[in-house]
Amino acid sequence: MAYASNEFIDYYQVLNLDKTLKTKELHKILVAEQALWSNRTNTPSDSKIMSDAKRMLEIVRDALRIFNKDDKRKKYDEEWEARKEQGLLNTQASAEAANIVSRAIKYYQEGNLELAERFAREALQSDGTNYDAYDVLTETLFDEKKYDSAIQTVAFALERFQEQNTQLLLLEKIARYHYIGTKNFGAAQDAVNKMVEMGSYIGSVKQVLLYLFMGKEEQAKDEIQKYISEHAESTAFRREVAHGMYGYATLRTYVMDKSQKAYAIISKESAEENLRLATEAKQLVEDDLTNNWIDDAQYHLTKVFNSDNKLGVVLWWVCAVFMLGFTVVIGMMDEGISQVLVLAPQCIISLGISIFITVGSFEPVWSYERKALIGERGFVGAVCDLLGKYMVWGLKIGWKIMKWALKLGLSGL
Amino acid sequence: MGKYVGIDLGTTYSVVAVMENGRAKVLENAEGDNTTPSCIFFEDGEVIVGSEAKNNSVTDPDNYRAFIKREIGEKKKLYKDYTPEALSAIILKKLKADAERALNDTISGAVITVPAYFTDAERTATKQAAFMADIPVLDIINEPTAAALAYSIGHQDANENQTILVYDLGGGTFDVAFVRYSDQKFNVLYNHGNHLLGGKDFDEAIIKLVINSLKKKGIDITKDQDAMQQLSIQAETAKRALSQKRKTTVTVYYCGKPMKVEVSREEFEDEIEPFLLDTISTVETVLNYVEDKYHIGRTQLDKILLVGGSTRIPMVSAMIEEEVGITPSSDIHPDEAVAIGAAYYADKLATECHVIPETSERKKETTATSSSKPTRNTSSENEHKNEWFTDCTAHSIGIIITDADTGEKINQIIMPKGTPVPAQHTEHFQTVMDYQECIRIQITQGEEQDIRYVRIIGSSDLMIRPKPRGTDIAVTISCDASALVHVFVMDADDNIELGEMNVERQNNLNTEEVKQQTEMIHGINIGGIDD
Repeated sequence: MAYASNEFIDYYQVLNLDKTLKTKELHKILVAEQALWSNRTNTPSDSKIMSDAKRMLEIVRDALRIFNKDDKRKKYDEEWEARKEQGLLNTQASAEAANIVSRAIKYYQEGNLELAERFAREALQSDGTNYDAYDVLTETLFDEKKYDSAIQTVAFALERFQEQNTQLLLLEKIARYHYIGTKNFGAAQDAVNKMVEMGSYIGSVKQVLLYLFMGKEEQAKDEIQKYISEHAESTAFRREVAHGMYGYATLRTYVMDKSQKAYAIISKESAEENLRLATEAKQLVEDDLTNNWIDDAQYHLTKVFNSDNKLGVVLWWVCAVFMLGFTVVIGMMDEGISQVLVLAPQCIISLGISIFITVGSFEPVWSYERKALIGERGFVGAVCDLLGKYMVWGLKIGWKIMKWALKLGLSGL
Repeated sequence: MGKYVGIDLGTTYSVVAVMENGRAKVLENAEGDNTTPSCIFFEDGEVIVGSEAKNNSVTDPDNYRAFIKREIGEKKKLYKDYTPEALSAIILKKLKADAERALNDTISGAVITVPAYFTDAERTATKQAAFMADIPVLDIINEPTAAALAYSIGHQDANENQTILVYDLGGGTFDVAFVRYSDQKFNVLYNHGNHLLGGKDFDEAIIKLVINSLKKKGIDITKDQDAMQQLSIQAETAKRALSQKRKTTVTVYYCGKPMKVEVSREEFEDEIEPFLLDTISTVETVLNYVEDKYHIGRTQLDKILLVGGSTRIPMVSAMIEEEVGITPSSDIHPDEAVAIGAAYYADKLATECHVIPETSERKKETTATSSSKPTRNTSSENEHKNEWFTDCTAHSIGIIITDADTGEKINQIIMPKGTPVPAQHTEHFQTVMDYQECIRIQITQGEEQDIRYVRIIGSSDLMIRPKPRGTDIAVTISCDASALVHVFVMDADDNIELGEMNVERQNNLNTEEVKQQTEMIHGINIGGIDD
């Protein structure tokens, strides 16, 4: 409860009230607004939305306490005018919007795109000059694959924000949304051209990435060489290209498994491609991102032991060694040679399987992780897995039969 | 043979009543009062409930808990390991012990009242609390309905048809119900409310006035926890005094020094006016709905019954009179009517219908059978209700769908609020993706299209046969007489049942938790109760 709150709230702005209306009319609107927010505090399941609704209700009630009498309103309006003259009101409206934007960003980061979109739109309603609101809204729309409305929103923002750096950021969005989303490379090229015209290295970075997404890798390389030869000092360009390549590689390497909410590597080829791109990026710039990237890419191609199969492998070896020992013992017995001839093939088979399953259980990380995430795996891995499982099952069933036989035998006695 | 009682488990005060020889009687507690404050004080190894607990709250606010009802049905711990259910159970245990002492008999069953606006989860939680307190529950009914029943005692004129509006402003919740009484039967036509509005807000208004007034003198007591706790008790007294007098004095001890602050009724009314306007909006909503749906205009309204301690504030009746044009009646006792109505109903259930109180074991059984049967009929246990009253749904029930044009997710209401129960509604929907293999059904409770302002009360993924988009999916929502919701989904093209969904009570305790909490409160010694 905000007992201590002394802040001045611009009710006209926050509650979207028409200042020209009479106190009585405003009061009527506020009563309706109170009923709306009061109902809204009855049901939400999300605690953040609930606390927002409660806060809103509190604001409306405070407004009602002012707009119930003409003299109180007059006093409020005087203070409002004074603050407006001092330029204190606008900052407050944008503070309110910034608050909503931070909520939208939080939802965006949590992956709750629906709520991120709603809050971003709400923030824009209360302050149309908030760039962050446009930023989160467009990225959300893009992630939701609503490319057209994302691009429309950016176009709208482009008219609003004339400052060059902001224009660059917005053009970057347009280019990216086109070459990743709509695949309208022509439109992407237009945006890139505008950026290049503005004389920023970002334009060249985007040109490289555009070539990459168009599948023209050679041209991308030429572009890189061209820019570097012209601007030997530009580390920013190298860095941005490398980071852009990372995004490109990520899109081509991983596939999102929605049910698991996790990424899996598409195939062996994509893992190798990823390593190749990482190596090229590292040549451009060596920083944390490229170092980690290359480490990851290498790691994905190394082989690790599939520990899920540990029990199966051990059991196969136990079985093989046991068979071998048994065969040797039999062979040492009188007239055991003929038995050995029967047992030997089985010995060889079980040894063979043991070796196969051991080697096969060393699986490349990408395949291993992919299996863990979406259950798909390579042929050898799958066979090893089955062999291991059958061994464990067989042993369990054997154990049960033995127990049962023992019981039967005992009761027979 | 034991007695059957009605329990009004309130946010701030609780009341127990019984029917004796056709007359309602409110049972005194061990302290000799008709009402017991719903608050708890924990003192090493002992728990105190009621007015004694309230007195202790000043000295040790950390071990004091009140307003538990505002949090019932939410998954949280309010004090150490105690859930809201367990704390409510402690209060119920005290109420039960006191009632048994007053009756000199055991309690075999009780009807417990809840605000009409309580959700499914909150009702279930209340039942669980009763189970923990070892009180067999005959039924859970809505507070305004109980108040209307209480009114009917002694006003049972068979030929007279009446329309009544119940305005129930309690300690922490607010309810309005529109009731039509005809042929000796009550029909609750509509109800509406807010479960976060009540006397507590008016106490806080006084607290705010006192704090602001002291602040003008340069004293900030908000950081002094003891002073604040003391003020919160003083505020209640002051609020009551202001219903009688034009001004009153609140004394707060700050750093040992007494501070006197004068609060006038005018200031107080100015502060609480928005809350009361909120209640009037609710009344208007109810009246408009009834006029639209049942063509009962406000001129045909016979009576407005005031229930709940906060209706003693003179501004309440004044405002109702001003807005609605009818002088509210004072025919029933604002504090006791709800418990009396519940007692009357409990008595009827036990003596005329021979209803067996529901225990946890039986409840488990019914849930098990309901999941195995595709459609569930209203259990016979609930049909008896129809003899005296019918209720209606307090919330709209719907599902979340994707708008085909905008791609936006919206809440689509299937069973609107105000539907008389039991009821069953079906709506048809189309799949939006080609060869969709799975549909997610999310059941909502709430009035708005905007999904932010609805509560998801159940969610399930159902497999369907992949077909081009446009598969006709029929969603049937039914609501039984106890306001519990059931959902049934069908592929209407193939005529295949996709399944019945149990509305998951995510926020409710599971059987294991109930057991554990029951053991926990059984182990403690509640002051004044001889177990």
